[in-house]
Amino acid sequence: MATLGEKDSVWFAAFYERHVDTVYRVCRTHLRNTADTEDATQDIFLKVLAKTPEFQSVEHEKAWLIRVAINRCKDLLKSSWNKRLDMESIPEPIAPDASPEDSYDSTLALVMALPDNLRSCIYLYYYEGYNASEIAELLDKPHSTIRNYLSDARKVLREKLGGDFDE
Amino acid sequence: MSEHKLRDAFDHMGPDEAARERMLQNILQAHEAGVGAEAQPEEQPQTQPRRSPRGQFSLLRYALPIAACLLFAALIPPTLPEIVTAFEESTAPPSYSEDSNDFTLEVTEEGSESSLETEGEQPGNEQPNNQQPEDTAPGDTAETPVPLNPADDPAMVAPESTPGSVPPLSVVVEEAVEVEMAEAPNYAPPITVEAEIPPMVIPDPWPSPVDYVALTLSALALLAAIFITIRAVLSWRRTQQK
Repeated sequence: MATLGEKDSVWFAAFYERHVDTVYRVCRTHLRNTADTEDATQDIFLKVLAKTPEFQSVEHEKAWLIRVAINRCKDLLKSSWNKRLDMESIPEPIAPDASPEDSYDSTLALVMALPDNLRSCIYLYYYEGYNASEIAELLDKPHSTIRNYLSDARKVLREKLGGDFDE
Repeated sequence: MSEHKLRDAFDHMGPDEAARERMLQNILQAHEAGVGAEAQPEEQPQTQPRRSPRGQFSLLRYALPIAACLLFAALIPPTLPEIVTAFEESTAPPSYSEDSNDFTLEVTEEGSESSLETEGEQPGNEQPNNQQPEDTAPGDTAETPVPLNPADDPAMVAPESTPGSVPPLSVVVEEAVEVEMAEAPNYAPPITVEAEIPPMVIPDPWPSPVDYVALTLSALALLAAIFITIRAVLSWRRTQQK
């Protein structure tokens, strides 16, 4: 590892601006905690600086970062500290930094109330625009499992939010 | 549309500008600190690599279990039946047996001819007695044997009774015996030995289940000792190869 030069600093700043929102949202979807989300995001970008992987395209960068972010969040959730704290029992305000619009908060609260797997699938499918096969690759799960996850999540959201969801 | 609601909600989930800047600064600082921290050990001279205690062969780690297994294997067969017997005796209700085998065995100086006096009313309950008194030598027997039945002994026969003065027969016999024995050169008073003969127990030709259990446990302990020994040898060879 070497100190960032001028060229690397510029590259990293652009890289960070391109992907920080995605990484932050993925981490937030999994961790449901602002402080942990920021820590995880910083860890992931530090890993990029340390390894400097070669990417073929921006999409490749994004997919790599999402995959690394999901793994990092799983590690954090599996850690003894999180098990001891039992994060489910701690009431966490949903998106305290977000705008105080009730509709966003209620929708986000519904999504956050979903189980972990369904939550990730909903985020990747409806926000990031990945299809079921790509999500299956990202989450390292069978295609049928992802389809079932999406179906279950849609069923729950349809009951709570109403309206139609793209099948 | 619900999908729009979802997208908007996820849009608002992103970090604000201040958080972005803070995270970027933290990342760059941590990276530089990481570079500095990694550069320092390269300048320091390399010290002797420390061997972890796990890599070393510790004799005590294997010797203690082996010794414990061997001790267990050696102690279990003799002690387990005793423990079980003691436990059964302590937990069993008290038995009231009316069978009385107690009797007094009177051994005179002649070991071959002994007189038996049963305490209870057991006529005809005669058992051979081969016990010799401790303080009597084998050849140290009286020359004149004392018959069991006083009527057989001519010396003990009561004199012809005269009318009017007839002593009791038992007294006469007792005196005759006393006189006879007192005249013997190696006379010793009769020794009375009271022995309690336990009820006869026929030994079972097959071992009891407790013995089987004890032997099985002992065998298992021996197997464990052998297994630990093999592991110890393998571990020792592995450390030698390193």
